[in-house]
Amino acid sequence: MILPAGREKEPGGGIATAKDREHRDERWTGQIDDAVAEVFETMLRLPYGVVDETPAMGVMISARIEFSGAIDGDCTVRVRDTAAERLTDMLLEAEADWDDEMIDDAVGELCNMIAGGWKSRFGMDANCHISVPAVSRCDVGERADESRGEMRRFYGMGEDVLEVTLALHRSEGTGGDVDCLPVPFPSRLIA
Amino acid sequence: MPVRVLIVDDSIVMRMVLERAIRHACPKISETTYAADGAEALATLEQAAARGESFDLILSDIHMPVMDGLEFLLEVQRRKLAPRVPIVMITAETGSPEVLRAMEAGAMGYILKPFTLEQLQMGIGALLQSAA
Repeated sequence: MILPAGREKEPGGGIATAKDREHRDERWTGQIDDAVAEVFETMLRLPYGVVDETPAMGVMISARIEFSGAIDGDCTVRVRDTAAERLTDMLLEAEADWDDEMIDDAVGELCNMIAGGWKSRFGMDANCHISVPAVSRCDVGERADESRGEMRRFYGMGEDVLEVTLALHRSEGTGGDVDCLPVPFPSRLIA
Repeated sequence: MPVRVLIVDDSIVMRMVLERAIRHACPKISETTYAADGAEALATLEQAAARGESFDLILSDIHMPVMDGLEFLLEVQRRKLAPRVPIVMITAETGSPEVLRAMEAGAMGYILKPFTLEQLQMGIGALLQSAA
C-alpha cells in the first residue's frame, strides 16, 4: 500500500495524518491522566504529579492488562518494588511488612483500575474485553516490549514514579482510527 | 443474628478493602466469607446450603481466573443456589459488556472501582440494611 505524503497507516488499517495522530494522542493522554487521577484521589489519597521520565532503580514490578475484541492492545503499569509497598499501604490504609504476593496483587489491582478507567473514558463499545492482570518482577533494564509502547506517562509521588504505558495495535469497525461512542449503562450503581 | 456476606474476588487486596468497608458499615454484626473465583464461590454456596445456611449478600468481581463473575452469577441462578440473595458485581469499567449482561441476568447492582472508603461504606451499609 502506497500512502500519500504526511499520512501513515493506523493500527486498524485506516489512514491518518500526523495531525490526526497528534489529536488522538492528546485525547488518549488526557484519558490516561484522568483515570490515574481518579485512582490516586479515591483509593490512594496520595499527592502526585505528571513528571518526565525518571531513571528507574532496583526491582520493578509490572502489571499488564490486555484489551481484545473491538480493540487489541494492552495497558501496563510499572513501579519500583519499594514504591509498590507504599502503594499497598495506601490501598489498605495500613503500614505492614506485606509479602511479595500481596504487593504484586496491589499493583495488579491498580493496573486493573487504570486500564478499566481508561477504557470507560475511551467509550469502548460492548465488544471489548479486558484480561485479568499479569504481574511480573524484573531488574531495571529488562523493560519488555518497549518498542510496542504507543504512549507512556510518568506520575511522580515523592521520590517514586508510577509508569503507565498504553499500546493499541488494532481496531475493528472503527475505520482504523481507534475511537468509539459511549455506550448507555444501567443506573444501578451502588458505590 | 449476624449478617453474612460472601466476597468473591481473586485480589487479596480488594477482598481486604471490601471487608474493611463491611466492618465499618455494619460493625460487629457482619460475618464475611471469601472465595477467590466463581468456582470456589459455587462450592462455598453448596457447602453452606448443605448445612442449611445462606448468605445475606454476595459481592462478586467480574474479571477472575477459573470462573468469572458473570459465569458465576448465571450458574448460581441455574442451580438456584442463592434465591433472594442480592448479588452485586464489582467492576473497574463503566461500559463492561459483562456487567451489562449481569444486570440483564438479575444482578442487583454494581460497584464501580475506584471508590472512596466512604462511598463504599455507604453503598454496602444500604445493602446490608435491606438484606438484614
